[in-house]
Amino acid sequence: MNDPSQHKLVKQLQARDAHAFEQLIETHQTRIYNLIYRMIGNREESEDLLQEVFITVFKKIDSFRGDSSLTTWIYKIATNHCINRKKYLTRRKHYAKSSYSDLSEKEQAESRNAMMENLPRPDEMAEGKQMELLIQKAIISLEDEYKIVLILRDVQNLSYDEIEQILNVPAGTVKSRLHRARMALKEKLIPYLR
Amino acid sequence: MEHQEVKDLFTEYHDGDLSDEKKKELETHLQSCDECRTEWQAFEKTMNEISGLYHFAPPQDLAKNVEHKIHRRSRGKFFGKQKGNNIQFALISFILVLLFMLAYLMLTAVNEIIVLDDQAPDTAQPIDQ
Repeated sequence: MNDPSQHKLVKQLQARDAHAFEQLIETHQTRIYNLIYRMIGNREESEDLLQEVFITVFKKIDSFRGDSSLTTWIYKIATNHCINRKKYLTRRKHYAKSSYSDLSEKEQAESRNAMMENLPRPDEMAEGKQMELLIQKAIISLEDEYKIVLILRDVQNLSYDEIEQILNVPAGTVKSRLHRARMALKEKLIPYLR
Repeated sequence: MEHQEVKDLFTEYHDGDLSDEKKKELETHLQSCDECRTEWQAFEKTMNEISGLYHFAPPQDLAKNVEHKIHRRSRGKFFGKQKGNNIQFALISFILVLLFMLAYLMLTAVNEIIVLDDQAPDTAQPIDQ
């Protein structure tokens, strides 16, 4: 942990300093909320999960050793929460329409295609919000391991180094997953691109 | 360069990670190949769309809600000041209500004394014998 201001903040957090905790939330809430929302695709679930991420940070701050930056560590907690929550929602069948993890590979592919087919035709779509919704649906329809890399790199603008640390996978894996995610997204969006 | 080889390099080309030699080779191919050029243009447009995605504002009062949950789950061990603040607020409210009641009672009492004084016979007058 080379950054002295981070070192000081961590010490304050470990001492359960309320002001430091509020400062931490203030600094990270927008990034983490957008990561969760892009992963989960549901506002209510995302808001609940966002709270759980910071509760975990509060509970686990004593185990933070400074091997990575505090931000990377929080991202790691957030991605784990997202994956676990998706599994939980799938089990509970809350994700009947938008989840794929409980389906076979063939069923997953069919379901993903159906989702894209159900979207309005390009000539029916207005600019702006519809495109936003379309991209969000396309991202959600990606498999988790591709989706998370795409969100971290292209939506959150994190470096490859940071993504390697968050996901604990080698650089080559990050790059190949990112490429496959981008190509898959392009295929889904081609009918709507001008 | 084969078509697939070109497509496999889109991500590195987009990120600026290609060597000068590879970059030149790819660009030469894109100029002469309609199929790969169309694919590349779609790739670029996709990347532009992703980079233009909204960044939503987080819910309001997040810190307060998180602290409240921690306080509840820790059975009051953490962020107990909220409880303290509530007690303080209740105490101050109680004292204020008490002061208002006292002031009201005192004012009522003073008014009654004035009324009684007005109704009382003039003691300066001689008693009629």
